[in-house]
Amino acid sequence: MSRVCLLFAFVLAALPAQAETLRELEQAQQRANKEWTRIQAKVQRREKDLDGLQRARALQSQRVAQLQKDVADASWISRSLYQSRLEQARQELRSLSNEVARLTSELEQNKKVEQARRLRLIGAIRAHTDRLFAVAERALALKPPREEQANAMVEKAIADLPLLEDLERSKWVKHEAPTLVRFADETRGKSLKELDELANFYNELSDEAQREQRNLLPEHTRLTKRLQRLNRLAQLGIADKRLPVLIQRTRDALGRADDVLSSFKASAESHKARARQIETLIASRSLEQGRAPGGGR
Amino acid sequence: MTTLNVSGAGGRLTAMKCALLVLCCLLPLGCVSPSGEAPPQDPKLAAVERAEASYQQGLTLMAEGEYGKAVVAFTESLHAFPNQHRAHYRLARCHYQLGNYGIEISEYRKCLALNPQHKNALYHLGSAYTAQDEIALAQDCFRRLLTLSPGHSDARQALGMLEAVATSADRSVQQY
Repeated sequence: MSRVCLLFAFVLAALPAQAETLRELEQAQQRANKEWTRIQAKVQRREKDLDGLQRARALQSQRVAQLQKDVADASWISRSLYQSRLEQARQELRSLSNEVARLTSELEQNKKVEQARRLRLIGAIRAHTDRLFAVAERALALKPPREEQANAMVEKAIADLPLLEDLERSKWVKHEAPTLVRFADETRGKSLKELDELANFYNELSDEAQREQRNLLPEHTRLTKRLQRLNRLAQLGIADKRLPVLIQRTRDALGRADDVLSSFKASAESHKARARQIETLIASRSLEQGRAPGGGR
Repeated sequence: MTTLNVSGAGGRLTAMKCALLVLCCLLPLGCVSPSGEAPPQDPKLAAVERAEASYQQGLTLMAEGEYGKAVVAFTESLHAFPNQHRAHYRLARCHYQLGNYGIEISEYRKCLALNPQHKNALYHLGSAYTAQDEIALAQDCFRRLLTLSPGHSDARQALGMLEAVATSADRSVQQY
C-alpha cells in the first residue's frame, strides 16, 4: 500500500505544474485579500491594545515612584502600610510589564504574518490582473473580437489595480547613497590593516547595493510589461475611461522604479570606486614599505 | 341531408345509400367531421409550425437588436419543438450579445450535441472558451473545426494564438 502511495507521489511530482484558470486565480485573490484584511485588522487591534497597556504601565510606574516617595517620607507607624501598598503597586507594574512584553511579541509575530500575507496578496492580484489583461487581449484578437467581454475583464482588472499599487509602493523606497567622506580624510593615519578592512567594508556595501538592484529588476520588468500591455489594450480600443489614467500612473510608477534602480546602481558604483581607491592606496603603501600587496602583515 | 332525386323511390334510396357510403369513407380520413367543422390538424405538424413561427420571430428580433425578446422567442420555439440545433445556436448568439457568457457556452454545447458538425457553433464555442481562459477546451473546438473545414483561416489563427499561449511561461503562477 505504502509503495502505491509512494508511486502516486512520484507521478504527481513528475507532472508539470498546471497553470490555474482565471476563475481559480480570482478565488485565490479573494482568499488572499480576506486573509490579509483579517491579519491587518488584528495588527491594528493589537497595536491599540499595546498602546493602552503602555499608557497604563507608565501610570503605574508613576504611582510606584510616588509610593516610594511616600514610604521614604512616612513615619514609622504608617510606613508598613505604605510599604504594603508599594509592594502591591510593584506587583501590578510587573504584571503590566509582562503583559506589555507578551503583547509586543505577539504584535511582532502578527506583523510578520501580515507581511507574508501582503506579499501573497500582491502575488495573487498580479497573477489575476495580468491574466485578465492577457485574456482580454486574446478576446480582442479573435475574429470577430469579443469587445464587450474584453472590456468587462479590463474593468475588473483596473478595479483591483489601486490596491496593488498601494501594496507595491512600499517596495520602491529610494536608496539615498550616503555622501562619502573625503578620501584623504578617511584614509589619513590609518594602518594597512585598517585600510584593508575599510576596502572590504566598501566592497560589501557595493555588493549589497548590487544585490538590491538585482532583486528589484524582476519587479521593474513586471512594471514595464504591464505598461506595454496597457498600451496595447488602449490601441486595441478598450473603452474604459480609467485606462489612460492607469497608463499614466503605471508610467509614473515605472519612473519611480527607474529612480530607485539608478540610486542603487550609483551607490554600488561609488562604493566600488572608493574600495578601488583604497586598494590602490594599500598597494602603493605596501610597495613603499617593501612588501608585496596582499602579503602577510 | 338532401338526396338526389334520380327516378322514383328506388332511385332515391340508391342515391341515399351512395351518399352514406361516401360519408363513411371520408369520416375516418378526417375530411369531414360529424359536426361539419374543419378537420383537426396533426399535433406534431402544428408544433412544428409554431416552432418555426417563433424561430422566425426570434430571427427578426435579433436583426432588430432585441436580444432579450429574441431569447424568449427561441425558447418558445424550443418548447414547441425541442432539439433544434439552430435554435440553440441562435440562443447562444443572443446570450453572447446580452453578456451571459456562461449560458452562451452551454447553448453552443447543446447545439453541438445535436449537430456535432455545426461549424459556426464550433468556432464561436472556441472563441467563448478563449475568452474564458479555457485554453485546452478552446483548442479542442478549433481543432475539431479545422478537421471539418481545413481552410478556416480564423480558426487556424486562433489555434495558433492559443498554442503560443499554452507553451508560454506567462501562464505559470509560480513567477508571482
